[in-house]
Amino acid sequence: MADYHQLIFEISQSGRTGADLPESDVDPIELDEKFPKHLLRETPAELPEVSELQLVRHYTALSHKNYGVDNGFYPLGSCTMKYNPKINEDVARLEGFSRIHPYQPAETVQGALQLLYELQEDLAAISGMDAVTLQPSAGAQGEWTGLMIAKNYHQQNGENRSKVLVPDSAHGTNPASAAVAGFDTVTIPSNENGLVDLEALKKRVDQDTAALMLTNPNTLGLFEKDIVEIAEVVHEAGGLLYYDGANANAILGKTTPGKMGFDIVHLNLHKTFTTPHGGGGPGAGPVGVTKELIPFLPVPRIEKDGDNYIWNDDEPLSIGRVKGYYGNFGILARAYTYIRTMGPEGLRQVSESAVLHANYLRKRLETHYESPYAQFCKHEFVLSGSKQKKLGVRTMNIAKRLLDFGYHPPTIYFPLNVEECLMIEPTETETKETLDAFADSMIQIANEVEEDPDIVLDAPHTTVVGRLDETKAARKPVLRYTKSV
Amino acid sequence: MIHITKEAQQKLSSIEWQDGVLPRVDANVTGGCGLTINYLFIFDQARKNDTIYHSHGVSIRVDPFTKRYLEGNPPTVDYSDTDGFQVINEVEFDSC
Ligand SMILES: Cc1ncc(COP(=O)(O)O)c(C=O)c1O
Repeated sequence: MADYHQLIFEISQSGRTGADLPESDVDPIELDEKFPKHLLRETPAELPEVSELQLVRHYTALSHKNYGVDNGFYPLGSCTMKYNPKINEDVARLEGFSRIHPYQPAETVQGALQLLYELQEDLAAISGMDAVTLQPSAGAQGEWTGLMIAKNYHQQNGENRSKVLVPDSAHGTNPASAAVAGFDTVTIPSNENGLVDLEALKKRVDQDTAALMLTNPNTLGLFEKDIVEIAEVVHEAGGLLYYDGANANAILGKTTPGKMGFDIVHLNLHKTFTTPHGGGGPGAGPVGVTKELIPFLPVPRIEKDGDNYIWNDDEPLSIGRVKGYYGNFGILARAYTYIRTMGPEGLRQVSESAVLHANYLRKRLETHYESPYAQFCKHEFVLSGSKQKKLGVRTMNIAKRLLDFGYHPPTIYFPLNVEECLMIEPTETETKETLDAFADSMIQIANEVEEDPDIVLDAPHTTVVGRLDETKAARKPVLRYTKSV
Repeated sequence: MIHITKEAQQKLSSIEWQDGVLPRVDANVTGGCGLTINYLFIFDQARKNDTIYHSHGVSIRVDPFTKRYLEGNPPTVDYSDTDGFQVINEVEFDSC
């Protein structure tokens, strides 16, 4: 096998180097004259010794092993793997942004602060909230921040409300964040249309309800049509409404959580607002709130004083700081660039196209796969592999077979309330040709399940590593790389 | 391929089977934090390409998906009044 498919340690040759250092013009010193003996290595570090060309080939080969939106279609539901425009990268890399330090005095970084301030304003307008903090570094951290704001708000009103309501189709981070914020979670069942069961909600809302967390459109891609009544029910009991806006791709410029009656919102900039993601970060989960909740937002807050931007640390009711420095600046710069290059009309088009694409794919696939909620969807939709299960093939096999066609599979087995679930989010950035080619592959797989199921059951066939033996991996895991493997 | 304890055999032989229904060992995938696979013992209709295992006078179905997981790891079906039927197999795993 070509040596660039091996580990860099395996191709190392003693004495080989990729760079020649100039002769030293100062006298060498003995290390043990300068450092205590117990801190010195006894054996040399096993650093790889390779030529520059070997190094270039090695890392180029590694980069090709990755799969991302830049390689191909990536319809991962609830994750919005849309194309991330390269202009965002250019802006985030501008020296005036990338080479500043968070502890620099505010007057020396006015441009960066202006960007943050204007991004806050834009996100407030997009979400229909009165103020926004950019500090949280992920959706889940935004949820936790929002719930801490709710908690402090209730306590300020002399109430210790202990429950957070979460629908059964919610993303797992919702109940997790509620638990970390010290609340008990109460699950609200969905009705047969995949929406919040309003009657069940009414029974569970009470004086102990701190908040209801809701995603709208929900994780089935369906718009909660009763949202105004849901908001009334929760507000009448004194609770707050929390909007999980991780997937805001269907509502940009069409409606806002504010209009729906929500009090707290988080947005995932690394989904809707185009930061490359999928490897665990970095991300950004800004939180917006209505007027009453502004005093509880994290500090420091960025404010405008005449023509200057300043930091404000002095807010006695604030929940405090939730992140080192002021958030993930590079991601905020990307989101700002995206919003400003798209403009209001562009963002509205994003949502219209995202919804159109999802419905187009849904229509093309719904005669081949069970469509448990066969109705107009928003930016994503779910299918069930229940028909294929009767033929002995599962959603897991369908996902793996898609790899043979060069696609990243959709989200599978989530949400939990759909049997053998496939959750597909094509996003607005794909062409009709791509959507059609993906639909053709999905239809071909459905036909294979009927005619030649083994080809699906034994997939993938064309990947670097074939079908993995998961049982062996569970029983005899090899957790450490050894050369002989 | 499938072991059945005495208790499970006794219970199964006392059941009156309805049309087309047979017991099945089924690998079940659940989502959430990564994917989890566990084994269920259920009663249902045939699926296409099922394999039927006969053991101690009992017929048990396995679908091709599940069969690939059971290869080399024969599970044991047990029964107790408190827990009902259970599939014991050390290969259950999840990715969390
Ligand atoms: C609906 C929903 N809520 C919350 C989150 C959590 O966001 P993050 O992964 O940034 O913590 C996600 C992420 O997948 C999501 O899809």
